[in-house]
Amino acid sequence: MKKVVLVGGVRTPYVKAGGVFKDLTADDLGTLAVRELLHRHNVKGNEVGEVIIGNGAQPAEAANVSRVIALRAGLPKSVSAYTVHRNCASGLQAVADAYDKVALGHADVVVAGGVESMSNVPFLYGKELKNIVAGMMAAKTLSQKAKIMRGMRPRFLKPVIGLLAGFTDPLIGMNMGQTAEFLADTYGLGRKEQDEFALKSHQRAEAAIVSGRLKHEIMSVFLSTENRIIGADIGPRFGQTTEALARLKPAFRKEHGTVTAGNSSQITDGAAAVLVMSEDAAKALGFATDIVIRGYAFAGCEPKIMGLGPVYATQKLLLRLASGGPRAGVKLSDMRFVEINEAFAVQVLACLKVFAKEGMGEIDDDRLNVNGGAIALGHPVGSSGTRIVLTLMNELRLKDVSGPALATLCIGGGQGGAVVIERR
Amino acid sequence: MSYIQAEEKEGVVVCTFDREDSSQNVLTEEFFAELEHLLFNGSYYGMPLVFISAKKDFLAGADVERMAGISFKEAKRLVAKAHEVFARLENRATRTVAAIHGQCLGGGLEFALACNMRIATEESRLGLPEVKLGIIPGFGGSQRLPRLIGLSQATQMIVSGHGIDAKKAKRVGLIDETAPSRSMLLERALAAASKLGMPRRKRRMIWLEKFYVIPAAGKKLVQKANPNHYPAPFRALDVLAKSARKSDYQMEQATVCDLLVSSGTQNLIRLFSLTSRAKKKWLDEPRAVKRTAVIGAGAMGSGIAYALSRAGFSVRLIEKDEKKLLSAMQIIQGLYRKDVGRKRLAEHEAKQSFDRISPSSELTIGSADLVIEAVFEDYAAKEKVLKAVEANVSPETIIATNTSSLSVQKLAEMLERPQRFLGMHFFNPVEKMPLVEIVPSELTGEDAAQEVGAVVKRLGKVPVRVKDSPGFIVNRVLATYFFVALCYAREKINPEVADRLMRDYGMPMGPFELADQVGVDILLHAQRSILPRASAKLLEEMVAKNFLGKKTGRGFYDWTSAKRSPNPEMGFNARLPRKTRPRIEKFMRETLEASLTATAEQLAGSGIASAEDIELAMLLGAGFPPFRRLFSSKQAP
Repeated sequence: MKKVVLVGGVRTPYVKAGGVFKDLTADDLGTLAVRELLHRHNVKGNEVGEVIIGNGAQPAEAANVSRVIALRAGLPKSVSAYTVHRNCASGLQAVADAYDKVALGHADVVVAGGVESMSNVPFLYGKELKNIVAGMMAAKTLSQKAKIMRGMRPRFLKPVIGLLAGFTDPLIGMNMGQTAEFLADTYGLGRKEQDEFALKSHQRAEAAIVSGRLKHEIMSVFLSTENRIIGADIGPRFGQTTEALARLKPAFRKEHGTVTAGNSSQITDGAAAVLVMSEDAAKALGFATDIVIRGYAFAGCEPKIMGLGPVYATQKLLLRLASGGPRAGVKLSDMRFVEINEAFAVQVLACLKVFAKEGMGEIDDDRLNVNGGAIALGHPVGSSGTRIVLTLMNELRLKDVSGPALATLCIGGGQGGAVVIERR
Repeated sequence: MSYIQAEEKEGVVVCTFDREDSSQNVLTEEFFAELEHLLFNGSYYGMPLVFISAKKDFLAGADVERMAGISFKEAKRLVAKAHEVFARLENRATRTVAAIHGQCLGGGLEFALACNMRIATEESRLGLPEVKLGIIPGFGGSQRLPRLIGLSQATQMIVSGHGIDAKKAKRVGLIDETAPSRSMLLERALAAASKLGMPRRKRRMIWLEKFYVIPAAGKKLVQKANPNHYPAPFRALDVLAKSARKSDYQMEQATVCDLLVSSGTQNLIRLFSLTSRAKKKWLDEPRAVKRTAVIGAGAMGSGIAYALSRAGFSVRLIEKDEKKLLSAMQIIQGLYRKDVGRKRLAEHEAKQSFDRISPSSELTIGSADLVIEAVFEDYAAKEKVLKAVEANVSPETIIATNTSSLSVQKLAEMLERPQRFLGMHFFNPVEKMPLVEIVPSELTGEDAAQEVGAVVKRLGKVPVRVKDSPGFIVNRVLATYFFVALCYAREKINPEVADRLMRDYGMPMGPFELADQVGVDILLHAQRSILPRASAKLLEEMVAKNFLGKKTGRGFYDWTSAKRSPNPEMGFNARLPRKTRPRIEKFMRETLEASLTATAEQLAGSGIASAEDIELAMLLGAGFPPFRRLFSSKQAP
């Protein structure tokens, strides 16, 4: 198997859904990120072996959004591209697929990324209306049409909001917020702890923005129609306070609820992309080879506790790495930085509790989500997986530390995903 | 036969146009002779004919080179011959099918009109662009087209000279059928030709249409063109109107011959052949350049980025000032929106082209094959940027500086790889101006210059080679012109006078309008560097008072109200004294004219560019009227 290195990456700012990116589609966002990635790294295009993009909502107007993005970003038509979907971990799946391709020698240079335009998740119509429209299209005579139209009811016109439907688990009938409440109940995690965690996320994001550290991963987007330059995330609230967070009403359970809009991830638009290469190719093309991808794992769990997915995936990955020989093993406490995607504050807190309880080791608070997480920055579903890998890479380089780092996230439907990278 | 090969196939005579030793089927005398021969061939009597081309295009139209310097008598003879042969074709009692692909323009379309059926591939374009050369369709097109597609559509095509695509041609009835591809074309044509009987046509009531089409078209035309300078569309309209009731081929012949020998048309023909000759001096297609970068996103930078992206190049647009970059992106998007609005581009084409531009405030251009630097005109600024660029790109990358007043040689000497460096002078506004002066230094490699010439051609513009010298061609000539004009401004003569005189002369704009458009500060900068010893005091005073032209609202004119008037604070006299006015105006006109022609002649003598290229540059870059002669005929090349 070939050694796989992470060369570089970039992302668009993450912008609260319905905001300035609301008119940009998923392929618009992906094009911005991938094109910028290619230009920043002087990639001409012929050397790229595959483009893999993770995306949750799968826009109807851009089937296989990865191919659309690849061509729009200026890659040669001969470069192949496909889209992956693993719900909240789609962007991480893209990195994992890139790892496989390169490790097995099927490609030397891969563009991996994740895109999501949550502003553009469509409204849907129910099957009653669909049956009527399809029937009308098939009907040949006027009397047939009239017969079908008699079955029409005004309520059929009420749309199903795609975004909400996507957040509901079809097997257990719970939405994601309810699974978070379940974890709060099970692990006794109160409102106060959750709000404190959320506050920290905002404060860290604010510090990272002010220090200019995030500039390394974020590109400026020139919105000619809006007459605006977006060069930073729109989501982190500067000067956020516990009082402001405490005022919010529970969003998913009226009585005894603890999960609010303030301590959950934001609904956001954005795209991220990274360059994954074989070590030989990176050397030949003159790139730094300091960051190696060690491996990845995905694991399933009870859908009700999908928030604990990171624990299952991390455990699987650490065991897998340990089987590679005495020197290959990595412990949780070895991690220089850890990114646990903040779907909900309570879900991250629950993961930390279980890590400790299972004896997997503790994660230092100052190594966890150092630039804030999805609570402040936002969670464009298909993009976040790529973003946390990108953040780890930049942190290792900027702080000039060597050692392993872990990116992990929970996945709606009861799964977890984890990737370990290492700076040499 | 060296032009038309005839061959029997399934009872149909397939006539293939394949002119020997040429890439194009131009309508030469030989063509008409062979066509006549074919029509008289007894063994083909009673058999349908299919005409098809073996070249890239169907028929390329009349022989423009042959039209240069032609006498009235000669023109009359040629046109009469064409009419005779086409009439014979039209009157043939069998099906005659023109199987069209590629371009089918001018005389080529007139040929197709004389056939009784037309089939075209979907990508073909059809049109009668004669007015653009100062003539009208002369092989029966002005008579046959309105009878086929109606007066309204025909007037539009003939008077504007714009072509239409096969889809529209089918809709208006110009062609009978479209073929999906060139490989299917002959099969479809054979099928159409072997049907029995003659195709039936709807009768157009053009005598009725005349009453509402002609006046409306005339009204529109008057707003667009000056009949004294561009008579062709007016004459075309006239012929269309007068022959609406009954076709009149004689009138068409007389009109076209009359226009053909006029000096205006002869000069337009000259411009046409100058342009095609100038293009032949350069590589046809860029060999290596695919990815480009433009540095500096001012008016020039954004225009260049637009032109490059529209022609299919990827563009990294670099500008330190993010606000400027944003407004550049807005300008470019606006240009694309206009393209879509005017139906020059389809929505998806505009989107694809706009996607090719990637803005950045950092110098990340490593993979570019061609970098065009367009930062402001200052040696220190350009040196800094050019050196940084050179350090960031591969040794193969060509670096061009867009400059109008700095020495390319001097910049070249500052660089490590001067053989890959040259000057490229675009004109403002880039999206409209068809000229680019290419300025190699003494150190520039010819392959780099050729490659850049090919890129310019791909942009749909005309490259002209000029040696490094102050102002190159266009700005050098204009500097003298402005110098003369400024003398009159110093004398407090109303700027309207010179502007009106030069507009009447045929320039698109007078000198003072142009100065206000360009910006007085820019003009001052140019005058200082091109004519360093000439006084620019007036301009200096104006810059000090912030009279910079249109951009600050005041320059030589006051632009703040809807109707512009001379800037009151410049103290211009309202009008010239009545008695001396004609004499002064005559003198002004002559001096301004001489400032253009004499400077051009002097440049031609100095050898910085060929006389042909200087003439072309003046026509395309300075707006010198194409119906006038730049060089007195004695000096003409």
